Amino acid sequence: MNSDHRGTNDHPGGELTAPFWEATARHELVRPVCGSCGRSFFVPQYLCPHCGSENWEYEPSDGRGTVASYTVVHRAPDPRFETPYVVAVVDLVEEGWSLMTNIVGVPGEEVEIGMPVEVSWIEFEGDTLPGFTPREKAAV
Amino acid sequence: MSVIEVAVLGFGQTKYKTSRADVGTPELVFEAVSRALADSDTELRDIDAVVFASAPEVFEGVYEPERWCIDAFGGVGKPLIRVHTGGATGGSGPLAASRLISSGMYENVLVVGLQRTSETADAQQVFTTIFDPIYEQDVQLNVITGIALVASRQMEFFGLTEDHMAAISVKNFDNALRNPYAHLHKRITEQDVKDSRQLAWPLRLLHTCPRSDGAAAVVMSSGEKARNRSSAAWVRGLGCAADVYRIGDRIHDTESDYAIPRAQAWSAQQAYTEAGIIDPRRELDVVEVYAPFSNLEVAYYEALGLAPHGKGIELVETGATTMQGDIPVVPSGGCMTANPIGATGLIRFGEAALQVMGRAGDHQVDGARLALATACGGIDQFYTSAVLASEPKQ
Repeated sequence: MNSDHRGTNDHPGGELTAPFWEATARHELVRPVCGSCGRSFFVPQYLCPHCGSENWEYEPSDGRGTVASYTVVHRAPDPRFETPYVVAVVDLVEEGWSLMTNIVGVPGEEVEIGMPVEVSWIEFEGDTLPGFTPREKAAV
Repeated sequence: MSVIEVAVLGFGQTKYKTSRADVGTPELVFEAVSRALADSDTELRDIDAVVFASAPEVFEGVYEPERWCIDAFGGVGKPLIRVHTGGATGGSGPLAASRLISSGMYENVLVVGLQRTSETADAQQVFTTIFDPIYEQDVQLNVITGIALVASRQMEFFGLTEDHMAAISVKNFDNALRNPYAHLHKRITEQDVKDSRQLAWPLRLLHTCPRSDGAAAVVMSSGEKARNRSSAAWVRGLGCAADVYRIGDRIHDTESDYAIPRAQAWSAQQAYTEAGIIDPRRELDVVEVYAPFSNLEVAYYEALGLAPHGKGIELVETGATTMQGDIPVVPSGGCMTANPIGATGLIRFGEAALQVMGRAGDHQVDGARLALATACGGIDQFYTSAVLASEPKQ
């Protein structure tokens, strides 16, 4: 994957989003966990979408999920971006949240819904993005 | 107090092409407006207010195109409202106009839809910017990839195959051959669809829609005016619903699970309730659905109540939605064969009106009396639905 050309977006600071990107820079995946209802959610926002509480904190994620849906992209919105690549929604199954991400380290034709994956870090232009890669079969 | 009913008196549309460089934008609008006025036997001076429906201006080449086009729709001195709900814009226009009329504010309202997609260098690049800029854009999403995520779930959980999607494409391209205004006039086979270029698995080029330039217009009026006409399309029910922003938030909900667009179901149910429709499959004669991708048309069969949950593919397998079937869907060819984005919903609405007025020409569904038109915008986020009938309610 040609990381020089991906992403053109700043990840603004501020208490809502900065901790997420500071954690990714340390190769740690975090997620908001509500102190009132105990549920995780994503993306970070001021009120828990499940119960409306503002009492939530970032907690570490185990980074283990399954593919909820995916597509193998053959024509990138940014034509400089190397294809094919995989866009997916991954469920962090144990923790009950999901995120839009890329699946890396595996050919697109081998990806399937339900596939166990784990977080894998994508570096570009000084940012670190959470991608996911198939979990070692032994570890499943 | 009697309720003010609303009816469509006439519809006008332009020829749709990749580029309508043969005319300027105001001329394009005038082409549609003058046809709508002629079709409805209405003079411009009889129009009390204008609703202008145009989606992303970045496609248009000019900002606020309603300013440039004001003379083309006779807007000077009249109330003007601009609506914009992404791809659903053309559905929101007649919805707003209907309420302006039924509230008693205005008697005759002109709705104008416009999009000149040729003015943008790369529409899909523009579409990446509609996603969450902090957490989602970096993965290189666009409309096609967003809908491909729906398609792969339909395949996994609802039995959708490349055969079903190819059959939808062939049906819609065939229908377009009988619609002189359609952008794409090309006979295709299921093999052509399966051999077409991969865009984002499982979506191929012939599962998608073209980028089109075009405009459309409808003249809407109060029931009192419409009663004197030999034909009118009566607005029986309207619906409109928005969904959450992020695609990930639409997975694992109990209603749709990101395989059956739930906001389309919400909006259709509102329209059915207002129209008193209980069994849409039996009661509707024709559907003009806003489905820019073949897999979405199948998903909408379920969202619109034409097929039970998970059974949308059966309508493909039985041919029920072909012109020979019991519930033809997009006799015009639909947005897979012409897609001037902000105008597309208004084209669905106008085509549905033509059907119940019996004026749809070579793609007329015989004896159509009750029709549904929908629109969809913002990657499955905004929806409208309208039920039109050949007769008034009262």
